[in-house]
Amino acid sequence: MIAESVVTEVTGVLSPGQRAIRIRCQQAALNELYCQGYFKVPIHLAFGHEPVAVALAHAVEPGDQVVLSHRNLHYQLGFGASLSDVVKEFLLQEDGLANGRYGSMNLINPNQGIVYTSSILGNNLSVAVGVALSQVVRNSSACAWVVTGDGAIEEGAFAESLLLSRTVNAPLITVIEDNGWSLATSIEERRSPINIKELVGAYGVRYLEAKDKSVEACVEILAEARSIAMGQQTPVVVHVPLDTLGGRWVDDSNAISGRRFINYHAGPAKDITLDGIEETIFASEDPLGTTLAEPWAAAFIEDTKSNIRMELAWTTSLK
Amino acid sequence: MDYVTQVNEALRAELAKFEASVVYGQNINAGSRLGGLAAGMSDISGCRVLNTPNVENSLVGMGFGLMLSGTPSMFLMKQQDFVLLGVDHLVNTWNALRSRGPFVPFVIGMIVVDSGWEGPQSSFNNTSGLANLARIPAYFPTGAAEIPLAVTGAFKGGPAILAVSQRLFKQEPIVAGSNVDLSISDSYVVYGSEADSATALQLVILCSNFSLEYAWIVRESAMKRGYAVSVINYFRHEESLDNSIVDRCTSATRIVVFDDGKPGSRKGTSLNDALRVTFPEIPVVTMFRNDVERWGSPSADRLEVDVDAAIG
Repeated sequence: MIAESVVTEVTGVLSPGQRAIRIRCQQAALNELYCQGYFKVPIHLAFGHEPVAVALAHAVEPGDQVVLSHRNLHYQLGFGASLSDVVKEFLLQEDGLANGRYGSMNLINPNQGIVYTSSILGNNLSVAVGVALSQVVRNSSACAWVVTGDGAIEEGAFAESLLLSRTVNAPLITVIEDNGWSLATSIEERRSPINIKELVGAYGVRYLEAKDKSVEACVEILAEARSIAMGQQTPVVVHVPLDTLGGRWVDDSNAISGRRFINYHAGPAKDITLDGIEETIFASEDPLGTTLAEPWAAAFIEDTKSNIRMELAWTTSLK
Repeated sequence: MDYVTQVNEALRAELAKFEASVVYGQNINAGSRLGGLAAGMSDISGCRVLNTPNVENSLVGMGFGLMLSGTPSMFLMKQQDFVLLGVDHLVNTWNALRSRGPFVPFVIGMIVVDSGWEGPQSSFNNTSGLANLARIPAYFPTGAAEIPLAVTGAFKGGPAILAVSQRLFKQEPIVAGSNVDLSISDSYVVYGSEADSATALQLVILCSNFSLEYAWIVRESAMKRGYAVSVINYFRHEESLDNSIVDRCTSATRIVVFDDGKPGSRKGTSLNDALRVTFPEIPVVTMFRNDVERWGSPSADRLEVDVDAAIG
């Protein structure tokens, strides 16, 4: 369950934009180690997902509980875990974030409210309904959050959890990270379109959609979602379109579509380094683009890089 | 008092111990309340009783979420086969949680239809198979002595399967006679031989799943033929023979293993294997249900008891 001190920490020191940039840089640094074969556990990087992680860290209140999926790195960092603790966890060391017991895809951090993380598509949704119902039973003023994706909503578990959460009036906020991909298959390549708004509405569940991919839009929409969920004691679904960045495109001349595909299910992004981060992933579609245009951004990035280098040097020296 | 009433009373006694709890499932707060199994739950202080939609996968997941957040709960379902839709949670969710804890109870209560007349897709009767698959404690009470032990065991904490037999619902559970030496463990009840029996013919019957009543038929016949009979009735899925059971079997002249579960990861199979290795000199007879073809159509699907084969 999220402690008040954690909420203060994540909301009081850096601006949302700065936090997003820091998570981007932390991922880039971790990716360098990943490229060197540093880890045995598979890691799901989340370049481009930083805004929603920052927004969630800002939206949670003390007592809230968060349920995540296999791609949870950005939330761990967004909720204040140090890069050092994450690296040590991925190395399965006892002094890691979760004592080296969970690795990447099931990484939890109950001290910061991250109570369950699942590597099974759609599995976390109903668990989150139970977490939210537990808040109701205990007359809590907190709610539950669950993060899912455009692939997981294809599972029957998504429809079931909508119905169940609405039936028990659980204050559950479901955040759909919609990057348009499932493994290496785009939505167009794998299924007919889903009108998420109509689907969710059919179950009487409130639907919200971020107006764009920026940090500010994500912060705004998740704050509104929490206000509705708690004020009306009802489930809410928030649709957050985003791009998983990282340049991990693979040319595939044998693909049915004759197109390249993006192979980001797991594994490092070979072209991304901390030093070269501005050139490699801060592309035109990047949601951090406007933030990076701020006058303070360049100096902040340099400071962040420097701090991360020092932190990682110390951590890796202990390996 | 019939079987279902005794189970219901034991459940209500356990739920009354919690300040707040949730009991949920399909049709549990309407109509017959699952034939009386869920009767009176809403009268328990702090217990929320929720009728739910038909979303079994999510109902199992929700119970794990409640458990994770410190709210004891029980999901009651009309047929054991419904839980197959929730196997992802029984296996994967619990695998992600099992090293954490301690947890409050999450009891998955299920009725084993087991009459045969409902047809092949309602014939699932393999509580031990579920227990093996999920590595979750599983209880299956039959006799009057086992019911409170099984229910209390299921509510010890963390997830547990509690399977009850619809076939037994309106029957009076088997009660040990006053001159029967009754001893209990966490997993089984031993109905010792009659106190006045003094014979070299020692029959030990081990039974699992809901087979106590079948074993009782053999017990009665064997006693008439001069056997001293001990019945060891498991109410919890356990993997191996313990020292107490080994000691009891050592003096046996014959051993019979009953299990009316369907083949697969049947407990009786592993018991039979262990007994044959431990006691190669003692005849071990099995009374299992192996007529797979019979389950393919509605039928009077029960374990057939061959007394002569059992006693020899």
